[in-house]
Amino acid sequence: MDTEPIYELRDRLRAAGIAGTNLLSEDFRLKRAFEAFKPLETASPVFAKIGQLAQQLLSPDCQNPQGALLDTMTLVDAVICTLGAVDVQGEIKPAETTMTIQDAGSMIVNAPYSTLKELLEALTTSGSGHYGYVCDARQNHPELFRDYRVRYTLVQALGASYAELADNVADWLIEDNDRTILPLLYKDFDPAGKKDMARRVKVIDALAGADANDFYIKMLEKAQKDVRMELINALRHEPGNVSLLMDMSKTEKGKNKDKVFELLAEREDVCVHEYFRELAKKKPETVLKHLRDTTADWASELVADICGRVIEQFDKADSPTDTEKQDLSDIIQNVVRSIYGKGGADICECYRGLLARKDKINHLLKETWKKPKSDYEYDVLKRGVLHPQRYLYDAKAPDIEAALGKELHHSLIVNPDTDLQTLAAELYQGKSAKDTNIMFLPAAITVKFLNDEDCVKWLEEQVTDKKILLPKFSSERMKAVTEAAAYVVWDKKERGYMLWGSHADVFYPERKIVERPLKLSHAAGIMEWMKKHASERIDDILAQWVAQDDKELCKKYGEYFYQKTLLIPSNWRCYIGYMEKCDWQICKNLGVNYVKKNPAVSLWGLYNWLITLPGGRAAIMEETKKVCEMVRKGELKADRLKTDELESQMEDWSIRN
Amino acid sequence: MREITEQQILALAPNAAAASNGKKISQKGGFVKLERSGDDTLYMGECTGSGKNNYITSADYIDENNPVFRCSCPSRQFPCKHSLGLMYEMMAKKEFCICEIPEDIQKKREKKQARDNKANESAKPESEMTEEEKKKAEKKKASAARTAKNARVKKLKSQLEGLDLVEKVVSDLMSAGLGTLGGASLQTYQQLAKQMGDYYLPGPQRLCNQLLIEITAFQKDQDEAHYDVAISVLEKLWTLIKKSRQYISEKLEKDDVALDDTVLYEELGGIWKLSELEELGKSKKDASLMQLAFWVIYDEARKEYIDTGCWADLATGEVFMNYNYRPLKSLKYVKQEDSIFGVAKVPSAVFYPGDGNVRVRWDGAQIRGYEKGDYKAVFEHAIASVKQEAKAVKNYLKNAMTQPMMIKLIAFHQIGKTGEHYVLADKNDDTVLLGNMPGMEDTTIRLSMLPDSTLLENQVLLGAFYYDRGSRRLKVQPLSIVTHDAVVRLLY
Repeated sequence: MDTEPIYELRDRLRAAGIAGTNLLSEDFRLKRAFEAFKPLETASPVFAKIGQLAQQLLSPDCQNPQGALLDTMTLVDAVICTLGAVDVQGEIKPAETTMTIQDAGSMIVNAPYSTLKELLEALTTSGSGHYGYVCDARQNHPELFRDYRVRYTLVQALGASYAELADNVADWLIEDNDRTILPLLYKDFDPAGKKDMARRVKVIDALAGADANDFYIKMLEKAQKDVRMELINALRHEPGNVSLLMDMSKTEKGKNKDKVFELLAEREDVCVHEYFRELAKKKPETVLKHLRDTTADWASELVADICGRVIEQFDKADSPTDTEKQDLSDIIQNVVRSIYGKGGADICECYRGLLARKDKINHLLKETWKKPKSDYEYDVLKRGVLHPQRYLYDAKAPDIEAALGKELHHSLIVNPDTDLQTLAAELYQGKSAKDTNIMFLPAAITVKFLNDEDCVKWLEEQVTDKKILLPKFSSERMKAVTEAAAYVVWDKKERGYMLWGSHADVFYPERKIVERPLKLSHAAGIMEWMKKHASERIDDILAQWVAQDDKELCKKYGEYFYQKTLLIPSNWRCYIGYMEKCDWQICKNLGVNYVKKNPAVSLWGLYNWLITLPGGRAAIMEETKKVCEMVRKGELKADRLKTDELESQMEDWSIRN
Repeated sequence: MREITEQQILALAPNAAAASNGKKISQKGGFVKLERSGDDTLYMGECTGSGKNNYITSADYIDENNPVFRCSCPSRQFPCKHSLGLMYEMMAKKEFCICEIPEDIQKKREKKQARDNKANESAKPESEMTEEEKKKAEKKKASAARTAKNARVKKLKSQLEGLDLVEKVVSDLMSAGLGTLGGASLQTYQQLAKQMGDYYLPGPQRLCNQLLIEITAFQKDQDEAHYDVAISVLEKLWTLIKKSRQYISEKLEKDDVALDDTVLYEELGGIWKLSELEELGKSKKDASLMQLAFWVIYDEARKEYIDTGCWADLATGEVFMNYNYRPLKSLKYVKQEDSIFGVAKVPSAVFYPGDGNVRVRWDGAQIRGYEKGDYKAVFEHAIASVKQEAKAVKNYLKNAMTQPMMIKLIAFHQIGKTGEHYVLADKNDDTVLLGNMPGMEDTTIRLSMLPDSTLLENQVLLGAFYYDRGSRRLKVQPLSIVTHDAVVRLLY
């Protein structure tokens, strides 16, 4: 039986409802649909009933066409419902689930609606408070993030409109190190997609590494922009990708090409070495650019070779034109940047060769020097490769000696090559004890640190200026000491010292960190010596040197920072952080002292100071009480402070914490 | 010392934030004093707060199943965060000093006891009454019945009058056509819909509002689907007018205005009391109801959130619905229901009139975790043949007055795919397409998220049958999968 006419009739009745029964008499389509339906009337009593109702509706004598239309529509809809198909034709294939894994049960978390729904919404929709909610949930209910619904949503959240949330989700997925999420990341992957897909590659890269190499190569066929960059980066895991990368170095463009070269430069591979050697013949600038962050031996040889040629070219340039001067200046700057991290005798020769021509080079740099467009713009001659920690050689004019001093210091952090260590000592210490070059003092100190020498006495000698008649303490030389000491930090996680720095010319989001474990048996003695020459800068370094697993040391420096906080007139907040590092638990008088030095302190200013104090809730409340009492009694002057309000706010804080 | 679980606290909390705040107060040492009575019926705490004085909060367990929470804080939430914090202190087994029960609590207990006694007295069986008491009770009953009858007659007459207004609205709408509804006429209809409240017809009023919401939405997005919904609403409204008019007229003619077992009472906007349903015999003693799904929807026409729990009766396999309505206006003060992962042991479950998945309510139940036997019962009662069930479901769904879905437990052999669509096959290899009902969250997509493919073979599906007009098919929306040892919720 062909039931199509009843559907047609239903559509026409619906249209009549929209147009209104006032127009029924003109509705020829409805009449036509009714005519087509008529043959069905004999098929069953219910169809006959529909026919009867429709007839009545279309009759010019119909008293209540509105009711008749609704009656007919209701019956037609009821009949259509009973005609609904159920069975499905065709072969049923097994549905794909994300995986079949042993502990699938752990991914079915009985989380209530109130918690789960809010989390899923916060992950998938934008709105105020969503980011905070997700972060809180991650911290307080990590088990929720195992749930199969949340896992799926997390992958979707890699494309969240709030980039910080999306980045955090990527970090969490990496942190969890759970490879069972991989099928979800591969599912519906779009190589031509945007940031969300790039984040997926980042997570796949971290979790699967070389295992997903085929995926990276396949997706590269259609990948674009950020996704392409991440996929290229992921090729680093598989040593067999060298030939592919070499091919890509000819086809990729812009940042992608740079990335390919960066990956090739990190390979200890004869083919790669040969490839760069050939390239250096035609494009030395390109080779210098791409070998700048590698410490491979072959790269050192190649850079030394190029440097030798540059020096030769420099010596030969008799009366260069302005363009030739600029080209020479640029390539010298490139050489200086590229010798970072390189070691070996040949590289040491480069340092010597460049320093031997320092006056001539400085003259050239003075003529060709271009001021960076912004302060953030990287400038190797001024700042070296790693971020300046404390001390800037802010020379007014570019100075090759200062730049090489920085380069050597930073190179020792990333590559403690013995030749470089000898060079540092050689360049710092001249022929006599008085004859030292301050530019190389940070490098010379770093050598002492690298060799775990007890250098307290030596340090004391180095901060004394001996060139003058009456030798005396030199603050300039002390600055150079802080420059070396500032790259040393105590690592709580590793429970040891580290040489730590970050590249100044690699910007967010690819922050490039350099860290190297360091044995520093005489740290306590060096700290004690630094304390003698204390300044705010040195206190900052002391805080990062405190071994947090040494309770005695913590107590000693905790007290030192506490006393300093009571004494010094400014920069207090840093000292709160230092005390926290030392796990210092006393805050007595820190509130009172703060008000004493800031009689015009506002309620919020004092509140924010008090809640950061060490010692815990009870001690802070005690200090608050003391401040309020003294203010009420007039013993402490605080013109703008309403003690009742402060107490009330602090009580609230106390409950919340 | 009483055993308290976090689930109990969450069940009592008016919302998740209150529970979380209570937990924070407890964790951060907000309670400066904790005491309990020697008989373990009263717990008290003194809690620091934003007020000048500390808050005194107590949990009174004189009635084990219905603890009473009291607090001196000004919060209108009940129980407040301080009371919940006190429960967290109990849960954490903090040290409570033994104390005497304070006088004011004693007095409050006495008052409550007096109220309960009075209620018990009125419910005292006739066999236990003296002659005098019997006479007194009969007289009281007759008087109350007379008053109630008069009020009911008045209400029914008013409703009958109001139905004329509703019919007029519908007729006008149909004459002019839904397509002509615009700014000014919409406002007129909104005014008319408001008037329906004066005739004790909140049910038809809601339907009218829904109709107007759909028309307004169409004017915004020009999506023709709004007209389909509007016409379905009109059909329901029209059927309701006709059936209600006949029902009310008959009642008035027969002078029998007592409540009876019909959906019309609720559809017109009446609110059932548990006692009224019990009188009609619509209750079941010692029911074991297993919650299998939970979700919340917002009904724009009602301006209410509806927390919906889906419960399977372990004795029969019938699926019942539990609704908690939270009006937008008083959202802050009405507790949101939440998912319950367990079985409710209900001393007296009361069911609403109607067919399909009728509404269930109860006053006090013990919740226990799922047990092996519960899953077994679900498997035993699940329907085996989709084909057979489909016929009954269609007959139910065709009625304009019923819910647009019917939830069933379906034993399946496989959930797989034909092309892009999910399909359920029963043991006889009869099939039905899976889909998502309009207005419900997408659950078919969650089938693809499942971590284990064995969940899609030889299990039981809690699914909602519905008619999909677009594809002219009866479909099933998957809600939960029950295995032999777990309930995998596709919703919440």
